[in-house]
Parts: sequence; C-alpha cells; structure tokens
Amino acid sequence: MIMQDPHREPIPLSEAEVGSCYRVLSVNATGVIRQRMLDMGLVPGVCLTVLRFAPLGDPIEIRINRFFMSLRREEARFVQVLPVAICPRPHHGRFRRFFRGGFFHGGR
Amino acid sequence: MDVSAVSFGGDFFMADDKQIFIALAGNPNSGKTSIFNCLAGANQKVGNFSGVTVEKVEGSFRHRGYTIRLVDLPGTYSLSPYSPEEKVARDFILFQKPDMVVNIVDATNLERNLVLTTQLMDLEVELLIVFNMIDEVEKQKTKIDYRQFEKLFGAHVIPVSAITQFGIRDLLDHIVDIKSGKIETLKYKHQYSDGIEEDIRALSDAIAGRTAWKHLPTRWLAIKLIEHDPDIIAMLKPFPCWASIEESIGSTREKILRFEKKDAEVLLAEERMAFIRGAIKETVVNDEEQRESLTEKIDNILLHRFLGLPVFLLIMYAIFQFTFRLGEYPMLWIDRFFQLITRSLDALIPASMLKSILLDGIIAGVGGVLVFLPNILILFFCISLLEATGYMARVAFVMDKLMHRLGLHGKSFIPMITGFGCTVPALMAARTLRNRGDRITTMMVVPFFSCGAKLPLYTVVISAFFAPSMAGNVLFGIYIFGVLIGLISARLLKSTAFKDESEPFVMELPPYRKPSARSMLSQTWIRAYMYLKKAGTVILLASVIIWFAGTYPKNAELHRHYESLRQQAAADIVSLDRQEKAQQLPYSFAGRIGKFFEPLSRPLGFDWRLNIALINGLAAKEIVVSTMGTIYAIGDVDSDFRTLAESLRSDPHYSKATGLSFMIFVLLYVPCIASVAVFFRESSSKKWTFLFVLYTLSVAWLGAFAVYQISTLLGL
Ligand SMILES: Nc1nc2c(ncn2[C@@H]2O[C@H](COP(=O)(O)OP(=O)(O)O)[C@@H](O)[C@H]2O)c(=O)[nH]1
Ligand SMILES: [Mg+2]
Repeated sequence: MIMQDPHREPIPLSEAEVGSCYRVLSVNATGVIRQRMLDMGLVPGVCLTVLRFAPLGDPIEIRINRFFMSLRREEARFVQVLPVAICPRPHHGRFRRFFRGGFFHGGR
Repeated sequence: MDVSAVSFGGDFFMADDKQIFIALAGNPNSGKTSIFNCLAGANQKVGNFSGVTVEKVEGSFRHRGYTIRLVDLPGTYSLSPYSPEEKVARDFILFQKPDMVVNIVDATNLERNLVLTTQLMDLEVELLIVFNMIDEVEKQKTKIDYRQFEKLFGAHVIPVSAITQFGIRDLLDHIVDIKSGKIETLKYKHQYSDGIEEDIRALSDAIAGRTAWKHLPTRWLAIKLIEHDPDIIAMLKPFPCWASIEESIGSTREKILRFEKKDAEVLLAEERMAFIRGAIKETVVNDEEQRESLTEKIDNILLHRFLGLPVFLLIMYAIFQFTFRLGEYPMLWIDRFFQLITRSLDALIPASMLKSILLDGIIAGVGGVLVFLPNILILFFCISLLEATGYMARVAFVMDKLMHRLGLHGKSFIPMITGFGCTVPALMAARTLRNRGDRITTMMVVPFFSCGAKLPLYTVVISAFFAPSMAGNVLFGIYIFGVLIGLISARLLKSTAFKDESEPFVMELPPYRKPSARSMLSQTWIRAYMYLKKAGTVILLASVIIWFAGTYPKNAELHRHYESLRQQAAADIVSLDRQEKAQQLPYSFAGRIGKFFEPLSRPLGFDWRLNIALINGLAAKEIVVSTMGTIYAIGDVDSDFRTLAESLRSDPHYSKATGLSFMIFVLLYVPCIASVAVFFRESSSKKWTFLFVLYTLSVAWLGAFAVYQISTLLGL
C-alpha cells in the first residue's frame, strides 16, 4: 500500500524535492496540454519520483515507473502531488478487480 | 531477415492478388522504424502524407502469397493529437482504414505504451499487438504471460526483437493468418466502468443515426466527445446535427463532474491507467524492479547539475574535432586521386576546348566536392548517433531554459542541431513544434547552424590561412559564431513578430539504447548516396556552366595579342595558354558579374572572383568550393596542379582577414535554392520566405563586414 505521511500537505509538483516520491492528486492544466499529460501517464493516483532539475534549473525530470518525462516548472505548477514515504514499484501479484462491472463484457 | 526467401516458403499456390494493407502505430521510440526495416528491407518508398508535409515511409513485400503493404506512421502517444505529426497518424488510421493496425509496444515500458493500445481498442480496428525490445526484457529477467495478456486485451500479442530479429517471422505469419481467417481475433472492447459505459452507449446511439459521420467508429467518437477532444469537436461542428449532440455531451460531462468530482477526460484516463496497471500486475513478473536502470546512471552524469552543460559542449566539440581530424586522411587520398587523374589526362589529351571543359570544369568542380565526402559522412554519422541513442532529447532538456529565455522551446534545438547536417531536413524537423511562431522562428534561424555542405569551404580556407594546429579551433569558432547569431536572431524574432505565448514543454526522455549498426550505416549510406548523386548531377552541370561563364566571352584584342606571342615562341605554348586564360577571366560573363558586385563586397574584403563563388553558391553550398576550384584552375598562371588552398594562400589579394570574412559570409547567407523552396513549402508564406532570404543576406553582409574590419584592424 501507499504510505502517506498524515502531516504532509499537497504541493504543486514545481515545488517538489529532488529524489523524493509523490503521488499525483490532480492535473489541473487546461486543454490539450492536460490531455497530453494524461496520455503520457501523468494520471491522478500514479506515483512519481523527482529525478532532477536540468542543469540550467528549469525543466524538471520525473520518473513514472520506467518512463522518464520532463516538464517545465510552469506546467508542473498545475500538478498537485502528495509526498509519499516510499514509491511503490509494481510487484507481482494476482489481478485485483478494479471495476465494478469487470473488465470487458466480451464479444463485438 | 530475408523476407523474399520467406515469401516462397509456404503456400505458394495461393493467388497472387491477395493484398494486406498494414499501418505500424506506436509511441515514439518504440521501434516502429526498426521493425519496418526488418519487414520491408530495401523495398521502401519515401513520400509525403497527402496534403501535409509529414514524411511517409511505405514499403511492400510478399509473404506466403500475400502482398503486404506497410506504412510506418509517425510516433504518437495517444489518439488525441498534440502535434501535426500525431494528427497524421490518427487520421491515417481513421480515414485510410488499413486492414490491420500493428501496434508496436516497447515491452520494457508497458505502462505508458499501452495507453495508446487501449485507445486503439476503442477504435475497434483489427489490432495486432507487437511487444518489441524482447531482448531487453529478457535481459531484465522480466517474465510476461502473453496468453493472459491476450485474454485481457482481446488481441494477439507477438514478442519480437527488431535487433535480434526474434519473432519477425512469427509476426508475418500472424498477419497472414489473421487476414486469411486461419486464426481468430477476440476483438474485445476495452470496458470502462459501468456508469461511463452507459454514457458511451447513450451517446453512441445518438450519433449512430447521423449519416454524415457514418464513416467514423461510433464508440470511439462517443468517447472522444465525452473527453471533449477539441480536434474532433472542430471536425463535427460544421454539421447541422451537431447542436443536438452538443447538448447531450454537455449534460454527460456535467453528470460525471457532479458524481466523480473530476473532469470526464481525467476519469477516463484514470480508468485506462487502472486497467493497464491491473493487466501488468497480472501478467508481468519482474525481479529487478528495484534497481536503478542504466539510463538513470548515465543521466546522473550527462544531466548532472554542474557537469551537464560542460559535457554537452564537450560532445559537440568532440564531434567537430572528430569530423575534421578523422576526415583528413581519406580526404587526402581522394585529393591525390583527382590530382593523378588530372595529370594523366593532361598528358593524354591534346589541348582543346573539350579538354578544358573536362579538366578545368568537370574534374575541378566535381572533384572539389567529392573530396569532402568523408567529412560529410562523419558529421551525419554523429548526428544520427545522437538521435538513435536518445541523447537528442536530452539536448532539448538541457537547452530548454536557454531556449525558453529566447522565447523558444527546447525542442527547437533539435532542428538547429540537424541544421549542422543539412538545412533542408532541419527545416522539416521544425514540424515537431506545435506553435506556428516557434516554428517560423526556428526555421528562420536554422541556416545559421552551419550545414555540412559549407564544411568543404571552411576546410579549404582554414588550411589556406591557418596553421594545422589551429584548424579545429577556428572551425569550432565559426560554428559557435553561427550559433550565437542564430540565438540572437531567435530572440529578436520572438520579441517582435511572434509575441504570442510559448509552447509548453512536456516531453519524454527515452531510455538510452545501443543503436543498431545496420540502421546507422544505412542512414549514413543514404546521405552518401544523396551527396554523390548531387555531385553527379547538379554540381556536374553547374561546373560546366561555371566553366563556360568563366571562359567566354573572350576579349578579342587580348586573344590576338596572345596569338602573336604564341606564333613567335613556339616552345612555351602551355604556359602562354595559362597566362591568357588568367587574363581573359575578367572579361568573361562570370568575371563581369563578379566585378559588378565589387563595390558591395569591397568592405568585406572580397574581390570579383570570390563574388562569383558566392553567387554560384546560391544554387548549393558545395558549389562555392567547386566554383573556386574551376576559377582558380582557369586563372592559375604558374601551375595546373596546385590545390585550391595553395592557390588561395599564394594570392597576394587575400589574407587571414579575407579568409575569416569569407567564411562568415558563407556561414550566414541563404543556404541554397532547395532550402528556400522547402521553407516556402513548410511555412506556406510568401512573406516569410522573402524575409528568410532577405534576413540571411543582410546578416551575412553585416557579419562579414564586422569581422573583416575588426580583423584588418588587428592586423590579421
Ligand atoms: N534493444 C533493442 N533496441 C531496439 C529494438 N528495436 C528498436 N530498438 C532501438 O530503439 C531505438 C528507437 O527505434 P526506432 O525504430 O527509431 O523507433 P521509432 O521511433 O518507433 O521509429 C533505436 O535506438 C533502436 O535501435 C529492439 O528490439 N531491441
Ligand atoms: Mg521512426
């Protein structure tokens, strides 16, 4: 399970610390840019690690699972994250049913 | 793999007219092009997608009696297009209706790659999933339960490695078997939660009756409308039935917002991601998850806070030193080879006009260009290496802050770097920028990133006026000067003509990969081939024209004078001929044109001969050197066998200052006719194309003027 430190408050991703792990709470950017963030896997609920800031200080590099993504502070401002103690990596286990109605109803 | 051999393997009795039309879709860097090359081999055709200037690579081959036609689509993260290229990929699947979409998935990064897969499932097309990079997956000791995965995704999954060729044959067999109905596909739809499914169904029913949109997949359309995809909305809006649909979309989104406390597109993205993560959990077992990947380790150095920039500059510096130093040896051999040919032909053929065309025109011109093949090849090899390893995206990451200061996007730096190879593909590479202002600005400054064709000229001039130990540094300085001018120009443009807001920076830093030797070599070979073709056609023709313009018309009086001299001193006719050629040059067409521009070029230190080279250089930059080769061969009084650099060095009119100023002018002025044509095609603006030409010319004049005056003052 994701461990949450109850004393911590949500912060914008732009103020995150290098090397720390966060869980995405919301993506509040607007329009195409939000769709793009969502499509690249920056979806509420996922955990990310802040890897670094670029040498000149701006774009920020994050890792979502095995995916390395970078975005400017400007865009990172719109992503609310919650600090988590450890970043859960996917481990093997049986599939949990995520959906009320199952995965698919089959057929065409 | 030899596909043609495979095609005769099995069911040869099948009819020949069976065709399968396939689109390769997948995220950028998932290995589409590598797999395309595995499948289609050399049978490739490069064109444009109709109506847009996005490169379309098509290939066809035969397998088991079927003709398989294959299209390599631009990489895309999703079916909600973000760039023009992604729109092309989506529209192709949507409107060209390929028989089958082969979804290339990077199996080392399933979570993100499968987002597109779930969207393709929404499209309800015939889908075949390929897990590429299986070699890396095995190295990571990851185990994937493909059968279970197939059950969850309702499509066949084929593990493949484009590098080791593993699974390619299996892929081909599946394509044919699915088409021929030998194996069945499950064709599941990806199901969202019940509430959403109800909304999708309701909206689908509302859409289904409209004949105007009958050609579009209804379910997918409903999903995109719930997500409020601006592109789809713009597409449907002109139809009269839009009004009624709009209302139900609005109420659906409102309902979702009320119950789920989030926008519909976020909810759908979350559900897709939950499905993907669930599927991964069930099918993928991984032992090495906790370890820091190689990519992270490399980036800890290459993107290091303090080391990142110096390392980047060092890599650039190394590339130029490499290009120059390593290229030196083969260049010497090629040069010797042409000198040998000139000498032996000179001895063989009696003096005639044809001999003059051959030696002074063609060999001097074409040979002068071919000498630089090694340079060009090394430079292009390095650029494709940056691209293939994944460092190119890091360049955008490292440079974005600076680029952003200039009002541009880190990605603008990629066309700029490509500009070091050739301006034409660099202008086309600007397509990845979404914002028109960014795109035009980037295209305007690309010429200042010195293209490979200018390199020969620098090489000649540098070796004429500078010590060999200085050569690399001078060259690097020239390139840096161009970069600075480019960056300043960008700032200027973005703060005047394009003051609109800049494009957001959200991009992937792909994992580092060892590039395949084959694709590197094939890319370099294509460059070599194009260069050789240019030398054999355009430059050959230009050489003859330039020879003609440099030889005719002749001054009659001068000719009579030399005729009488020749009759008197029968012994030294060869040397007299040379002297006459040199004296006649100013009277020729080329000489007159060059002289006409002398008032304009005097302050830059150029005489009429250099002017001729510059004017001819408008056709292509390689021609600057070949023109000089021809002119100085015509005008050389002492010897026919001197290299161009030697002629320049021994000319009393020229100095280091002239050399520098000339290089700067060549660096900055209009790249070539082809680039102007491409600029027009890419910008579709007469105004900007005109400004492109005008701006580069003025900057070149001012730059060369400043450099010449300053270095003359310094006594160079
Ligand atoms: N290890 C490994 N690398 C691969 C494989 N397929 C492609 N690559 C590498 O992945 C990178 C991107 O491949 P490319 O075909 O250009 O991807 P595209 O952007 O989808 O066209 C290149 O460096 C390839 O050499 C594979 O099966 N295994
Ligand atoms: Mg590709």
